[in-house]
Amino acid sequence: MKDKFSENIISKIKNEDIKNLPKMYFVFMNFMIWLFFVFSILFWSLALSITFSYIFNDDILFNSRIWIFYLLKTYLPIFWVIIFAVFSLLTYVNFKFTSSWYKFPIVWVLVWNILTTLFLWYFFFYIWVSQNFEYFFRKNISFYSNYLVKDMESRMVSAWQNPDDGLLVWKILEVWEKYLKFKDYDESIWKVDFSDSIIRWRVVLETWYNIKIIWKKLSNDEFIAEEIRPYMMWSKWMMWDFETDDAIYNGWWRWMWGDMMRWGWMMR
Amino acid sequence: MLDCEKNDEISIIAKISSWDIDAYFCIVEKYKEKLLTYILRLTNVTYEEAENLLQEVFIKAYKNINSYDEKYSFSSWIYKMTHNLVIDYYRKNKDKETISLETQDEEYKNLIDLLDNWQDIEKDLVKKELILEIRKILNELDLKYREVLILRYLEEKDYNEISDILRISPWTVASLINRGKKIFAWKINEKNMRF
Repeated sequence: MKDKFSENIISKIKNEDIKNLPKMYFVFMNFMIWLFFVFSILFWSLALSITFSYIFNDDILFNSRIWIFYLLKTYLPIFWVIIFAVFSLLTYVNFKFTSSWYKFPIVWVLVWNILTTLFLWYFFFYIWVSQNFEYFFRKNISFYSNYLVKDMESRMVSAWQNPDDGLLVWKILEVWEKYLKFKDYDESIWKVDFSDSIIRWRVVLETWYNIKIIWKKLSNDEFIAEEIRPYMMWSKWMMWDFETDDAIYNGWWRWMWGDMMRWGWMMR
Repeated sequence: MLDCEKNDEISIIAKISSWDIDAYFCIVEKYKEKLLTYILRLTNVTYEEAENLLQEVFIKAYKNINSYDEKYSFSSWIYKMTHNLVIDYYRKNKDKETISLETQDEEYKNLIDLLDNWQDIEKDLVKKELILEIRKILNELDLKYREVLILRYLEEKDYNEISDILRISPWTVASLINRGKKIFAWKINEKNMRF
C-alpha cells in the first residue's frame, strides 16, 4: 500500500470539503422506505381482493355449468391483475431495502407475506374498502369505466351468448304467462318457457330488462329455461350493474342484509 | 491528531459524526489493509485499481457514516460497503482476465486446509503455481459462491457477519458455503491438481 494512504484520504475529504450526510437524512429515508413498503403491501392486498371479488361472483356459486376456467376467462380483471403484479414486484424490491429482513429465511418471509395479504384481503372485503376503492375508479377514471369494465361486460356477454350450449344473454322483449319473448345478443328472437325454471334473486322479468338464461331445447321451437340469472354480476363482496354502471351496495349493513337474503334464497 | 489506540470504534465514529475529520484517520488506518486484500481477493483488478476502489470506499463510508447502525458491527458495515462497490465494479468489468498476484501465499492456507477434507494434501509443498490455480478456480466459481468462500475462509468472518455483509440470511450463507465447497472440491478434482 502506498505510503500516506490514510493521510491522502483525510486530505481529500478536507480539500474537497466532503461532508457526511446528517443522521436525519437516513432516518427520513428509512421512514420513507417503510412507508412505501406498507403502502405497497396495502395496494397489493387491495388489488388481490378486488381481483378475487370479480372472479368469485355468483356464477360460481349458482351452478353446475360454470367452471373456474369460464370465471377466469370472463371475469378476470386484467387491470387489477396488473396492479397486483406491479405491487408484488415493488413490495419485493422495497423489501430488499428494508434494514433487517434479510436475516430471515425467504420461506418465512413468503409465509409472512401471504398471511398478511390474506388477512388484509379479507379485512378489506369486510369493511368495504376494496369495493369502494373500485367504485371510485369506475366513477372517476373514464378509461377504467369506458374500457376495462366494458371489456369485462363484453367478455361476459360473449361467454353467455352460446345457444348451442344452452346459454343465452340479452333482453326481454315481452313477458306473458310463463313465457318470455327474448332477444339474444345476436338479435335472434326466442320463445322461452320459464314455468319450471329457477329464477335467481334480483332477476327482473319485465320488458327491456337484461337477463342470462340457462336453457334446455325440447324441440326446434320449444325451449325451457332451467335457470334465469341477473345480467349483472355480483359477489358476496361486490355487486355492479352493467346497465346502469352502478354499484348496488355501498355500505356494510347493506352487504350484511344482501348476504342474509342471498343465503336464505339459495337454501330454498 | 486523535490517539487511535485509546479510543474505541464507537467513540471514534461519534467524533466523525460531529465533523471531526481527523478521527476518520483511525478508521482508515484500521481497515485499509484488510479491505484492500478483500478487494484483491474478490476481483481481478490490479493493485492500483484496488487502491482506487478502496479510496472510493472510504470516501463513501465517510459520507454515509451516519447511516451506520450500532446494532451491527462496524466491520460488517464497512465490508458491506466495500462489497457493494466491488460488485458494481466487477459487473462493469466482468470480462477482465487479469489475475492479481499481489496477495500473499499464506492467505490461501485456509482454503488449502479446506481441501484437506477431500484430498491428500501435502501442505509443505504449496507453491506459487498452486496458489495461482486456486485463485483461478475461485475466479471460475459463480460470484455468489466465491464471495461466501472468500469471506468465510480467507477473511475468517462468521456466518452472522457474512449475512450482514451480503444481506442474505445466515441459513442461505450456510447453504452457499456448503455448495461452494463442493463445487470448489469438484473443480480441484477435475483439474487433477496435486499438492
